[in-house]
Amino acid sequence: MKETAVDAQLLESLRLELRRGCLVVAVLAQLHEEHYGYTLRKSLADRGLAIDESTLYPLLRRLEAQGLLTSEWREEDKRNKRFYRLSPAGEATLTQLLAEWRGLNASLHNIVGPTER
Amino acid sequence: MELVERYLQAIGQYLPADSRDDILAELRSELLEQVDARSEEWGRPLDEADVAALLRVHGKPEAIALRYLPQRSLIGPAIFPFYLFTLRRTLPLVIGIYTIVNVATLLLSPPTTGLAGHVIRAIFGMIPVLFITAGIITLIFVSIDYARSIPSFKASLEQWDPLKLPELKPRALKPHAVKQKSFTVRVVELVVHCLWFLYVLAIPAHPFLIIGPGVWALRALGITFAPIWSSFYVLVLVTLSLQLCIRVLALRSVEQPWIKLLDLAANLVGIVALSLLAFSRQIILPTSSAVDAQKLADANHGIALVFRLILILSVFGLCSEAWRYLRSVGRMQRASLSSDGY
Repeated sequence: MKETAVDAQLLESLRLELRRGCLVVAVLAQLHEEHYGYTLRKSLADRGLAIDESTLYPLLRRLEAQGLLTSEWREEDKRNKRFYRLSPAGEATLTQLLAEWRGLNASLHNIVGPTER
Repeated sequence: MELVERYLQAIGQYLPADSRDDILAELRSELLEQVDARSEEWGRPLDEADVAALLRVHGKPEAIALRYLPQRSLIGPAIFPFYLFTLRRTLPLVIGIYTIVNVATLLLSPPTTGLAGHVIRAIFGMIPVLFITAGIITLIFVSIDYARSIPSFKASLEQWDPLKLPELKPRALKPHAVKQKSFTVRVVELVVHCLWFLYVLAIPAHPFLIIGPGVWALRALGITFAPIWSSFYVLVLVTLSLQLCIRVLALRSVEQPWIKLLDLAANLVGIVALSLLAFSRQIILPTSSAVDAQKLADANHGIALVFRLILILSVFGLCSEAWRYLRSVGRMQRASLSSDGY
């Protein structure tokens, strides 16, 4: 059987596309509890979703500008840190996004099947 | 931590003033946390090389700043495909018009400074024309993209009716289909061509067949045809012979590849024949000394101009035919490759 070469660049681009929406859901879900950037990144990485700083901080600012997060500067361990948490609008949005994600997941499960291809 | 501050300063110069301090404060907090964590892990304070390595991993200042800036584009992704489509359609058209104008200028008033210089000037002159055209199209699309932010205009742009889509073109119904003439039509075409051939063969012996009473008028004016017409006539016969072959071959089928090639060859010979007259200074000659030499020269020039105009049209007709033929050959090759399973 002829082996098909995988275009690494294309794969990376598709992977990023797939990941982009999931990151928003993961960040919102993680901000049920208050976090500042560094601890948020650590907790996401500990749960298997590594995200670099240059992606996370602009995303946090965007979500805050969209009214899904609130933030405040506070001193902790003698250092000023910006703490984020979900806003009420963020809570409602996350609930709907999770429902959407579960629906998509179930559909994909039906399409792809329970075993890994 | 001077290096961290230098890094933040480098990022800050690309950030908008209203959010700069806030972004930099957050980045500083993040970087210092990382330094502390690394220091704790290694059991020693970080030196400058360690901090430099950490910053290198964090990313280039310009790239980091770019993440905080809104995405900007002159022409957004929603209309960019239309912009590209318009450019692709317009630029070849501009090249075509520019070429026709320059070739016509060249043929109607031959340059005094040399042909090569004229051609080179024309080619270099095309570059600013293309840039200006592309610039104007870009400005139009930038304006459209800007106007799309106005809700009423956006709504009018997005309105469309599937029922108003253009009718299907015949090619879209049956791709690459060649309209097959009926056998009777092909036989009639062959007979008409043979009659036409015989008519042309009879012209040298009976010139009135082509110019009628003009033969006696020319005699009265003391004018006759120049010898260049003999060469022209031979080439016309070659063209007619090639066309005769086409008509005979077409009796079997019009889809033979040889037919299109012969047709192109016949057109090419016709163009050579036309160019003989278009660039000849003596198309008609005096038979008596009473003919005004200046008037004769003007008449020769006028006739040559008419042939040059016909030549220009014929050359573009041939180029267009050749282009269509090459495209159809390319299509057939691709179809053959895809049917072979490549």
